[in-house]
Amino acid sequence: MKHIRHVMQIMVFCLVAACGNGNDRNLVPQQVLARLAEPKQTPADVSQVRAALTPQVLTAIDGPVLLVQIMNRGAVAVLTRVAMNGPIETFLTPDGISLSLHDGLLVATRGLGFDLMAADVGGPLGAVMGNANDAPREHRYLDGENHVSRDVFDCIYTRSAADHIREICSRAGNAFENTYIVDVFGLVRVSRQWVSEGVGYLLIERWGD
Amino acid sequence: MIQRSSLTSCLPVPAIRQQAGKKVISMVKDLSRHPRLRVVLFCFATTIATLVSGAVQAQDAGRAAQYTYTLYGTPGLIDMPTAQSADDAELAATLGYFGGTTRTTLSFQIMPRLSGSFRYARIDNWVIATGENTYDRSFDLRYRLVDEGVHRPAVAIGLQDFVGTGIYSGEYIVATKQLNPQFGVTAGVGWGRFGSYNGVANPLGIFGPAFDVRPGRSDNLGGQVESGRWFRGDVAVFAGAAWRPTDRLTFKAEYSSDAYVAETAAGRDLFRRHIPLNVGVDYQISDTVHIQGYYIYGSEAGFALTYKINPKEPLANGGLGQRPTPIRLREPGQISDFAWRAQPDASQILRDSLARLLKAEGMVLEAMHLEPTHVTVSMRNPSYLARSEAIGRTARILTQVMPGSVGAFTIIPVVSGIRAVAVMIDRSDLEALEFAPDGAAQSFDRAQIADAAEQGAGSTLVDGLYPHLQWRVGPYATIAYFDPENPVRISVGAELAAAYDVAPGLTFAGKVRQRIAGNGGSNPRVSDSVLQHVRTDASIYDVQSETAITQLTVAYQTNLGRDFYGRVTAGYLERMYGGISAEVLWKPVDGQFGLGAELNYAKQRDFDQLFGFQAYAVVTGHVSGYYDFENGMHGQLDVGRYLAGDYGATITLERVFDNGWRFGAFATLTDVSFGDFGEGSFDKGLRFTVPLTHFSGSPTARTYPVTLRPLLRDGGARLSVPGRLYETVRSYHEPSLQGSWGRFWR
Repeated sequence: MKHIRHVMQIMVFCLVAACGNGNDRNLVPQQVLARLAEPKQTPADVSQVRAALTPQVLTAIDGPVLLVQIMNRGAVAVLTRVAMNGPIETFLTPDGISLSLHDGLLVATRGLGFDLMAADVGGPLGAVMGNANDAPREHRYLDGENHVSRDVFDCIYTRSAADHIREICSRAGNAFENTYIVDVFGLVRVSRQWVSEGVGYLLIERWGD
Repeated sequence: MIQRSSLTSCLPVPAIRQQAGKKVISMVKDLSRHPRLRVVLFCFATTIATLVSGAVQAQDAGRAAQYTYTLYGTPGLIDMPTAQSADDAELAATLGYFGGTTRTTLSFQIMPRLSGSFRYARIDNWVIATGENTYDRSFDLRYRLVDEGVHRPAVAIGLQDFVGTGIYSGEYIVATKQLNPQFGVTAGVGWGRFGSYNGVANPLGIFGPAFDVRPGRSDNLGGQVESGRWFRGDVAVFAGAAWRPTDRLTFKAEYSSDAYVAETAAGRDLFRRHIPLNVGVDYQISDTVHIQGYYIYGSEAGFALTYKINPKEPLANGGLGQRPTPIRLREPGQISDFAWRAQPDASQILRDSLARLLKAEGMVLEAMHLEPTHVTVSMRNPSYLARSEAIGRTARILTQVMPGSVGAFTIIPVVSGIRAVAVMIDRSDLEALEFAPDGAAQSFDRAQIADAAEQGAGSTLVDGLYPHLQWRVGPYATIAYFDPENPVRISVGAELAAAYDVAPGLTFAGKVRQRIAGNGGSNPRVSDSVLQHVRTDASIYDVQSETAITQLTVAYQTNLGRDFYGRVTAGYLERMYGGISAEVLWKPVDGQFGLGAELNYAKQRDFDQLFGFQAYAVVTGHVSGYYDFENGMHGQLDVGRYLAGDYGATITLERVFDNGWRFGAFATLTDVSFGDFGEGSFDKGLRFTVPLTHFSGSPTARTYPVTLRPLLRDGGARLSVPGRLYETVRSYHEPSLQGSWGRFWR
């Protein structure tokens, strides 16, 4: 009896939402249902997450950790480093987002939508370290047709304190302002960095090394 | 030693540190041993939902357009056009109503200067004797001749209703100048409808008396190009202005040169045309929706609703799919370390790991062939419409899995048993270009793209793929348009679809539908066709088939040799025909040109769409040429014999976007005379392909093809066969791969 009820329930579900043993990603109603079923989450409180990053936790993670806030989405995530390609470190969340940093400067994001596909930060790196007051910065994005677009920004650098660097970048009708706080070893500890029009700014704290 | 990794789909793959002769360590396993870290993991989980909703909001804050749409569903004022073009590639659907006239229009900005519209109008009380309504289809084309300059207005030329029955036929030349960002003025001259109020003698009359009088419509069944009437007869002037005080609000006023002679004629009396002035307001509710309200000709209220969408503006550029696997850099010494070859189960373990990691990113490993320095991987990609992304993700995963000595990857996407292409990538290029600013262009230059017919020899198939049954139960909906009795016929119900893969390329497939609701099953339209009713009995099929087998086939597809592909399909091929179909395609992977031939024997099925057949059978087939113009345009020419036994050719032109959208038009001319063809004179229509990922952002290769025919008749009708070869391989071949290569690194 109970089995019959289960079967009936499954059949009704199949009629409304489609089911099968194939690739679920291609079933539209399931995608829609998944959207509807997403719980309305309140954004995690940054201070709670920060408090959770105790020295024991950081030791256990073995390697640097990023605490990242996506400012205009109210989202917080902790990322661990999983790969290095020369000076570029890649950090992941388990839910499908990655950030790649070149000596602390963001050079790629994935999984955010409107991702930064690649960046040439050779000039900005020198400027942040105090070797120049201006530098060009080159970003690559995908447009809506999957074509790569190249945006070149002119950036100027100012220091409000020895360790506090402001980077103002602009190009035709578009500007952003990044800030970096560098520690005595020249490591970017805290930064606010712009990703794209669609994502906005990330607030990145580096922990654990 | 190579060991099985214990990674699963939601864990960060690259945590494996694979060192020759050492243990494989997974950081994730380490994490899970520390309960305190669950706090952190919980924080991870809160991210995604907010990210998704955030991305949606980000798109909503878009810009407002300078132009608005008319009651005719074209860029312009109220009834009169302007010289403005819509944003390139914009598709706009407009429903407009006033004075007993309802117009549904689909407009597409085909190219930055060229736009076209298809319109389906209902005019009340058209047949004066009986008071019957008429349903009228019309096509327009507009071309912007001159761009707006500092002092110069934009100028456009347009043909309205140039192939239809001519009820709305009219031509115009119009100029529009934006005096400031808020205020624009328009003036134009028109012929036909646009020359019917206060018309004067046609100045083109200097070229000959033929221009002085607009000839009546040639006596035909509609659907023909009426070029003999264009720019003939009286000409009149129209003008107007649009004021846009805010981004969302536009006020419009116009002086109309359309006298609405037919609509206001005695007996029809649809409305009274007191004055030649119209005023109205357009309000943009969101990025995609406009509503318009009008006061028309001093007597009527009118309204319109426009929904517009631009294929170039998906939910999220680059999509919302999860991050790819980072590249694993080999350590010095690993490149020349072949110790793993001594391990007898190495190949098996690597194959299993690869299969698992591909699955986690939505792909299926089909086969693998491992050599000391080279691996060949065949995989299926049901997830990524940007094929380059599937190839890129596979390459990245290979850097994680393969021992350091394996320095060359050959990746072969397999579609229904056909090896569509072989992409050869040097592992060191992946390592060098992962973060290169122009990594997309460079990686394309360094990858080798080759035919896959002779690749992958000696590969070991992954266990469990053959035989394999895949099934799905779900809802279905079918919509048929343009039947005057039921302009929209909808059927909804349940569909069971199953596919049984016996061996690579050999598949049994079936679909059964049970209609549950809708008006598709009532009032069949009786065909007046003098040809064999090869398509015009469609509504009888709808009515008589509550339970229908819409497909039951066995198909075999394979690479016949270098650049050659083959397919044989037999069974119940489509809802109206069963039979056998054989096809051969020649298409080099790097070529813009393809050539195919298809031969079918088709027998008409019973109306109940079960197992029986009717008496009619036909041998039909085509030779098809395909051409990728590499500027986004695609052409196809099919020459051969059609279902009714008629001989002729079909030409198709499509704009194909690198994100999967397609818009096109087709026309077929055969030896069936226009008279025998019936209403519409010859077969023609529009074709769209809509990718789901545009709306969802998620990685899905699912697309929705839509064919819109103003009239479905029996001449120039083609058999519908599932799995035609050109579309099976096209998206994996070089012109198309290159177009979306930016997603290789996505």
